[in-house]
Amino acid sequence: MIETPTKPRIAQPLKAAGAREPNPLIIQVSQVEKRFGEDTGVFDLSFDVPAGTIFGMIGPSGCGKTTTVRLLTGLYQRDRGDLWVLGRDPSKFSLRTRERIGYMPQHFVLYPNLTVWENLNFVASLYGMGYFSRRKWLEQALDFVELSDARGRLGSQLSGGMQRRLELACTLVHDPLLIFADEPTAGIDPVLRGKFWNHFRNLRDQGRTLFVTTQYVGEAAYFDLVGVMRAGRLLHVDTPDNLRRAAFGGEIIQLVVAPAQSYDAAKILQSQRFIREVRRSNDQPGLLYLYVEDASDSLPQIFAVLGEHPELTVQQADKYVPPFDDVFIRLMEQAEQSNV
Amino acid sequence: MFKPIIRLLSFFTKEVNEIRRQPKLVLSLLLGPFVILLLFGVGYQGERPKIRTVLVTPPQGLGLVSLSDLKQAIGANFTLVDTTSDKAAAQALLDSGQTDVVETLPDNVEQQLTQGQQATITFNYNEINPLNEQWIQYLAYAQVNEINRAVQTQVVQKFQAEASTAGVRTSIPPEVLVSPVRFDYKNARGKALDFMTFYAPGVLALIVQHIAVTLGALSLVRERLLGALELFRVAPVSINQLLLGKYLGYTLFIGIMLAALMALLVFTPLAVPFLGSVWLFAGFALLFTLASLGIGFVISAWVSTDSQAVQLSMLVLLMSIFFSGFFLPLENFTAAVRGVGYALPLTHAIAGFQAIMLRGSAPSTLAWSFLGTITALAFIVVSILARYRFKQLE
Repeated sequence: MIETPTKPRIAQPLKAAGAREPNPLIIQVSQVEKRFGEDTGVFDLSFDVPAGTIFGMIGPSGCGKTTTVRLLTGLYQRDRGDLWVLGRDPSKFSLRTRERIGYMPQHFVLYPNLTVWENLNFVASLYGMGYFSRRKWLEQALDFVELSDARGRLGSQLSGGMQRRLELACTLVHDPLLIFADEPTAGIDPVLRGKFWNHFRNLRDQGRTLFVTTQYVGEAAYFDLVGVMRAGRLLHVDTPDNLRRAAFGGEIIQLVVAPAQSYDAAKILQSQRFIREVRRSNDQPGLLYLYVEDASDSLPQIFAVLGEHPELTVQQADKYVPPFDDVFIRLMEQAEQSNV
Repeated sequence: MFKPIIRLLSFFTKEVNEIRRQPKLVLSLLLGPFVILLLFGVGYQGERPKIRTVLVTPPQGLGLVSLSDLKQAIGANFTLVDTTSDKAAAQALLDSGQTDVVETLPDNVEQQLTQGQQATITFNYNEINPLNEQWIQYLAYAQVNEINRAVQTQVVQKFQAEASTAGVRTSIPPEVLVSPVRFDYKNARGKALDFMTFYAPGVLALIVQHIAVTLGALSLVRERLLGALELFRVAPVSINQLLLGKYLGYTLFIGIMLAALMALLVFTPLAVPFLGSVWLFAGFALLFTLASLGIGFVISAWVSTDSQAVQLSMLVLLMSIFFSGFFLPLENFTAAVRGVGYALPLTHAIAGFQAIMLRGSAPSTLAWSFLGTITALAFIVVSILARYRFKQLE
């Protein structure tokens, strides 16, 4: 049961797929500031996290992601603004609220001289789980991160990936409602990262809310909501698709024509109102990028326009989804230009 | 309802598991003191230092005292390595470190005596060790007393012989006339203990304190450096649960170690006596362990790195060796410095352990009070410091 926030909602929460009512807000942040010296810290943070979503915070190293997590978990006291997590001020979390939170810090904090099972057992007892009832949960958590066979191995004998998985198991062992994971995929191989995201999506599908930070920009695609941070400020909070739109001013269609026709095709298409911009690829002759409001609506119109020019042969035309690295770079460039 | 206890016991179990995973540590803590005491018992002779001495005699002879008698008297206290009339050669031996003392007899003892003056025997030495200097001065004093007594005995014999010739008879032997009073002593316990036995409770207490201080000193700082405090702060645990759990875990470990060590000391050929009550000892050792752990935790909550923690633990060990009465009597220090000694748990533990083990009596009320006070104060300080550290991640 989520505690009712005592503060009015500050943004319209997302609707979960198929849900009739908007999900309640688990985290509400409004104009929060935390300074470390003159211009270090986080400034003017405002965002909401609806229940049952994966909220991801991306940004370069040192941009304030960990500070944000620490503010949300009550490790740091804010200097200004309003902050509500599970309906409470994090600096005044009750024991009961803490029991509902799972926290996976950025650095490995498990004990090298304890076995996987003992580490997990220790964390379970920190959360007050009964001696006899916890066994089932420990087994489940180990199964979840596929470490059941390694239960007898010492923390020091685990690989980096196994350590992170054990940490995830420790975070989940008490069945938390809200999970904070600070760069959980840092330093692990892409295959394991993929598994982590599968785990996170499973957790989300089970109704849990996740607040995850990462500096792997490409992982933004796994989030339901993405917060983009730069120099302590939150530049954007939106869905991955909307962020792409924000970065490129709409959607992109890639069109391939014969290389000799690319100039003419670009000229014709550029004159269309529904096309904002046409760019020719430097790497692949004949490849055009068309920036439009909505790719699905624009594609038939493009074919109609090109149909009036039978001399132009379209080899390929489809919606182009740029990698999130490009989206991120674009957003950073925009921020720099706006002097944010 | 049971959650606070489960949380407290989580730290207890963790500490116990972590320690038992370090068999080398356990073995060294167990065998270390045993081997130290064994070596001490086998190797320490407990004798006064051997002071090499060159005797410089006057070229014209000694007059009243025979050289062989004198050598015998000197040999009782010093190790006579040479006898010579060459002062310069003797001094050269002293300068080169081949002798420790040059004892020079005066040229004209008899002449000075008949003139009513004291003759002076000179002891030259080149010593940096204050204890050795004290020994030289004491032995020189004892030797001069012996020589005086020998001279007086000869003089009395001479006078008695002259008096007898004159018809005066005396039945009192010259030795009694010269030394009318002698001494006798009796140890109510028969005899004092050997050095190894006497020091065994002290070594035991020293090891216990050192283990407790080191474990305590490393514990909180290690959690902080590991980043675990961050995890604990988000989890529903309090600093008191953390501290009490650690106190409990370490106390159990030290208790087991102490029991095993006691068994090694008492039931092996070392055969250190245990005359007092086991329960009294257990209670006293428990309080001593808590006091020592408290000091360790204070260090741990204060320092920023584990190397600082180890360094401060070693400083506590060094302070304990100097100021606890382990080797140097506490009474030899000024009142202010004695205060440092009283602030160390070891000071009271040595006295208490010796009382229980070697005398079969209870530790003094003072020892209980001091240990209780140190335990309470340390817990208060560590609670405040650790709470501050616990909350200050920024």
